[in-house]
Amino acid sequence: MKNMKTILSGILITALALCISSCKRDYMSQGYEGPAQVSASSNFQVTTKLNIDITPDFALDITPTFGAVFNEPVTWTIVIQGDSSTGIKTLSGTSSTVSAGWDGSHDGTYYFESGEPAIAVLSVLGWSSTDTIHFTIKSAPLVTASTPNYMLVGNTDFEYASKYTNKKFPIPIGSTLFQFATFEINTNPSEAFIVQQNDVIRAPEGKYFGRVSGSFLNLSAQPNGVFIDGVQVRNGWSGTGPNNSYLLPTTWKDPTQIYLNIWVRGIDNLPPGFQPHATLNFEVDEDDNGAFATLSNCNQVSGDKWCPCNEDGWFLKIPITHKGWKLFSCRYSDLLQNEDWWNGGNGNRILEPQKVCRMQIGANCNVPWSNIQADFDYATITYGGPLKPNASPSQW
Amino acid sequence: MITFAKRIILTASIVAGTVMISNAQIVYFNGLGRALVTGSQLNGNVLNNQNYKDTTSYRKQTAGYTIFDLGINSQPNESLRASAILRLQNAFGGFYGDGSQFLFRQLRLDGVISKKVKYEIGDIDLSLTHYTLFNFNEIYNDHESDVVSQRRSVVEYENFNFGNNWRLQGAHVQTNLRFKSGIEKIGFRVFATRNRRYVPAVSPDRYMIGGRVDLVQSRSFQLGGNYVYLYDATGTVVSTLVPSNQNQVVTGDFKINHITDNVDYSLIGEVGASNNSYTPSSAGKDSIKISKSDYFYDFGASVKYKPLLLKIWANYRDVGADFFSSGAQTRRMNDYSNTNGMFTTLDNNNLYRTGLYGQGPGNNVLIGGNLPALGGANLMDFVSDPSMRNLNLQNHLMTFNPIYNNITPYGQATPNRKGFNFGASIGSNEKVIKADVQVDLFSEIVSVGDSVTKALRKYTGVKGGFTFNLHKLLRYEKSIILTFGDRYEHTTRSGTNTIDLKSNLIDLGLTVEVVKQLDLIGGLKTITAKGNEYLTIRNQYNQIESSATNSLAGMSLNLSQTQMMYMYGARYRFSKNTYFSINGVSQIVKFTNASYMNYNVQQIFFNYTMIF
Repeated sequence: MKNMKTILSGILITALALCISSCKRDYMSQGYEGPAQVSASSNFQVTTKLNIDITPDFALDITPTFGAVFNEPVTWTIVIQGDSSTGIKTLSGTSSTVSAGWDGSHDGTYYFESGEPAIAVLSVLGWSSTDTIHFTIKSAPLVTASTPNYMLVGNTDFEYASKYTNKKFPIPIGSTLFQFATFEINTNPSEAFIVQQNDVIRAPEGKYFGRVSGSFLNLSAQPNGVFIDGVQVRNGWSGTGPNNSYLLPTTWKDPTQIYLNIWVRGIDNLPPGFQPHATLNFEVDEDDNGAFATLSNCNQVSGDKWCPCNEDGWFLKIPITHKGWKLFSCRYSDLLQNEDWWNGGNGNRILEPQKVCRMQIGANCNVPWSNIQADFDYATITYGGPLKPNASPSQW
Repeated sequence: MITFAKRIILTASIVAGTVMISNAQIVYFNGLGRALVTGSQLNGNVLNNQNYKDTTSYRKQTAGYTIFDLGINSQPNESLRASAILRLQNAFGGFYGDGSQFLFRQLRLDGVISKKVKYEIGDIDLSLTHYTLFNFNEIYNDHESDVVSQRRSVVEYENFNFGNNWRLQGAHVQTNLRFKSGIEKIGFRVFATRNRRYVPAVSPDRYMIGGRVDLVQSRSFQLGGNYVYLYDATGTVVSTLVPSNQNQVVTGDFKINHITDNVDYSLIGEVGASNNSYTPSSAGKDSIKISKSDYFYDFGASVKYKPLLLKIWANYRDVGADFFSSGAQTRRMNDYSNTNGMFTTLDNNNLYRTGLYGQGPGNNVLIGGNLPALGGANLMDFVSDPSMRNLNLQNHLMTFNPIYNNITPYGQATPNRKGFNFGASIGSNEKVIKADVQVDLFSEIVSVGDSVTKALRKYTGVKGGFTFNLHKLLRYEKSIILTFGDRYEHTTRSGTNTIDLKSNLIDLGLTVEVVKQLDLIGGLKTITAKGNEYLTIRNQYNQIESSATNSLAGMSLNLSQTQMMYMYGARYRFSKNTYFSINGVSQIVKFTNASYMNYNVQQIFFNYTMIF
C-alpha cells in the first residue's frame, strides 16, 4: 500500500510539473486583454466643446461630423439618442481630437426617425462631467428603397398608415398588391391592423408596426396551427399588372444567397388574458407551373399565379417566445415546406426563388382558444447575406 | 378448533394485510406546503427629487401565494424508484380556484441495477469540482442571521438551489469497482443533460456531457479526473445563421492525507484546462470561429487538530484569463435584471430599478459621466426575489456588481486571478462556538481595462465570523444564538485608469427562544462600498465589449453607497420542519454621490411552511 502510494505520488508530481511548465498564455505578450482604454488624468480639460458641423439630412446624403478637442489623449464616447425613436448610436475613439462622422446608422433595435430632435452626449473615461449638444435629424436614412441586394416586402414598414384613413384596405403598389388577409369562419372579423408606437412599445423602424391579434373566435382548420390573420403581397394580380412578373429581382437566382428578414416583438407587454402561444410564419409562395391559378389547373381561383393546393409554399416559422424586438433572418434554402398539403405543401419541392409570386406573413395560435398577439415590422429580403440593421443603407 | 370458515377469513386477512403493507412500502409521500404574503412600500428621494417628480411608479405592492408540493414516490423494487413532485399553486388574490395552477415541478427515475450501478434520469442535481460544475453561493452568507437565512431558503427552494448543485435535465450513472489490494476502489460517474431546448430560427439545442473518474488508493491518497463538454447542436435548427458554442473543460485533482490520532495533514490540488469556441454563423464571411484556451492550477495544504476541531489551511491558485468553464463560472444571481419582482421601474417607468445602469423600458439610456449606481440588485433582492435567480448555464461571463464580490465574482474558478489565500476555523455547530477566518491576497494575471500602463488589479480580502451558542455556555435549555460575519474587500489599481474600491459586508443575528418553540429572531445585513471600478461587459462570444459596441462598457462606476437591511420578528416552530413566522423587513439604500436616488423599502412578511 505504502509503495503504491509513493509510486502514484511520484507520477502525480511529475505529471503536474510537466503540465504547468509546458502551458503558455498568448495574451501575456500583449500584457492586457480587452479593448484599449485611456482614462483622463486629474489635469484633463476639454479645450473645444462638443460640436456638430451640419444638420444631418441623410436622405440628401448630408452626413455630420462631431468634433471636440482635449488637452490629452483619452478614450471618449459620443452617444447619440433620438428623442422620439429612442434610437442610439455610439461613436468612440481614443485620441485628443474628436472628428467622428456619423452616417445615420444606429446601434441596437431602433432606427432614427426623420424630423426628430436628438441629443449627443460626450463622455470621457475617468471624467466625471459630460458635454451635451442638441440638434435635429432633418431626414433619417432611407431604409425602404430597393437596392441590388435589398428590397422591402410590400409595405411592411407600415409607414403608409399615416397616409390612409382606413388602414386595412388593399394598397396597390404598382403591379403588386399589399393587403391584410382576412379569414372569417364566422361573423366576427379577424384582427390585423397597424399600430402606432407609444412609450411602452416602439416600432423598430418608423412609427408604425403591424399587429395580428386573435381571439378564440377566429379559428381555422389548417394543420399548421390556428391561423388568425396576416398580410400578403401578391403579384400578377389579375387585371392590375403584367401577368408574368414575379416579386424578386431577376438576378436573385441562388436560394443560398437569398435571406428573409423580419423584426418580431416578443411576449412582454401582452394584454391581460393573452397567452404567449403565437407563431409568426413568413412565407414565400412559388408559381411552379408558371401560370395563373384557374379551375383548370387548381382547385380554386386564387386570384394570382399561386395555387395553394399544388404549388410550393416555403416557411420561416418563428415561435414567439422571446422578449423585446428581435430580428429573425433565414436563408431561402433553409426554409421549411408547409406541412399543409392543401396550402403550399404539395408543390414540386424545388426551390425556385425566381418564381415567387406571393409573400405572406401570418400569425398562428399554437393552442386553440387562446388569445394571442403577434407584432412585426420591416420585413425585407436581402441578397448576399442577412440584413445588417446597424449598417448604413449605402453598405447594403 | 378453528373452523374452516374461520381459517379462510384468517388467511384472507393475513394476505390482505401483507398486500397492504407491501403497497405501503411501494408508495410513499413527502412534500412541502407554504403560504407566503408580503406587503411592501417604497419611499425615498428617488420618488421625488430636484430632477423629476415620479408620479407613475408604484409605491406599494402586495404579493404572495399558497403552494402545495406533493412528492409521490413509488419504489416497486430496488432497481427502480419513480418520484414526481406535483405543485398546486394559488397566487395571492386567486383563491377559490380562480387563478390556481397545477404543474409538475419535478420528475425523476432512479435506482440501483444489480447492486452495482446507480442511475437517475429526469430532473437531477449535479456537481463536480469547483472548476468543472459547481453552483457557487451568490454572496457571502457563511454567518448570516437565522432570520435572513430563513428568508433566503424560500428563494433557494423555488430555484432548486440545493447545496452547490445545478438542477439539470438528463441522466446520471455512477458505479464503483472495488479491489482487494493496491487500490481501494475506482469510481466512475457519467452524465448527459440537455441544458436548453432549441427555438426554431433562434437557438439550437444545448447539451452537456461529462463525468468523473475517482481513484481511491486508500484514505491517504485519492486521485480524480473530471471532464465536462457543453455544446450547441447546430443541426437542431434549420437556419445556418444561428451562432453556436462549444466549451470543454478537463481537470485532474488529488488529495494526499497523513492521518494521526490527533492531527490530520492534507495536500490537495487540482489542475486543468479549457477550450471555448464560438461559431458566430455559417453565413459567408461571418463564419470565423472564435476560440480560446487556457489553464489553471490550484494547490493547498491543511492541518487539522482534531481535539479542538481547529483547522489551518493555505492555498495558492493561478486561473488563466481565458479559462472558461460554463458549469463553474455561471452565476446563480443576475445582479442586473429588468424583470425583478418588486418595484420594477422607477422614474415614471423610465428606469429599471435593478437594470444595468440607466436602462429602462423606454430604451432611454442615462448616459455620460460617472453614472449614479442605481442599477443592480440590493441585499433584499438577493434574499427574497426568486425571479432574479439564474437557472441556466451561461456561455459567457455574466456582468456583476463589484460591491458584492469583486475577488471571486465567478466563484473559485474566477478567471484572471493568481495568489494566495489562507485561513483557520475552529469548532462546530454542536459546540459553544464555531468560528472561521479567511484572508485572500490575489491579483490579476493580465491587465483588463488598462492598455497603456497595463497595471494589474490587486485584491485584498478578509472574511470570517462566528456562531455563538450562548445557551450551551450558560447551560440553558432554550436556544440563544448569536451570529456575526464580516467580509471586507479592497481592490486597487495604479496606472492610467486607477481603481480604488472598498466594500464591507456585515451580518449580525440573534435568535432567542423565549418560550418553548417560540423564537424571537432578528438580523442585520449591511454593505458599505466606497470608491470606483470599471464596468466589464462581455458579449455573446465572451469578448470584452468596448464603448464602441456598448456605451456602458468600460464605464467608470462611482460605487459609493450604503445598504442596510434588517429583519426582525417571531417564529413559532410547530415541529422541526414546520413553522410560522412573521417578519418586518427594512431595506435602506443610500448613494453617497447621488442622494437623489436614495430609497428605502418597508415590508411585512408572513410565512407558514410545512415540510413532511
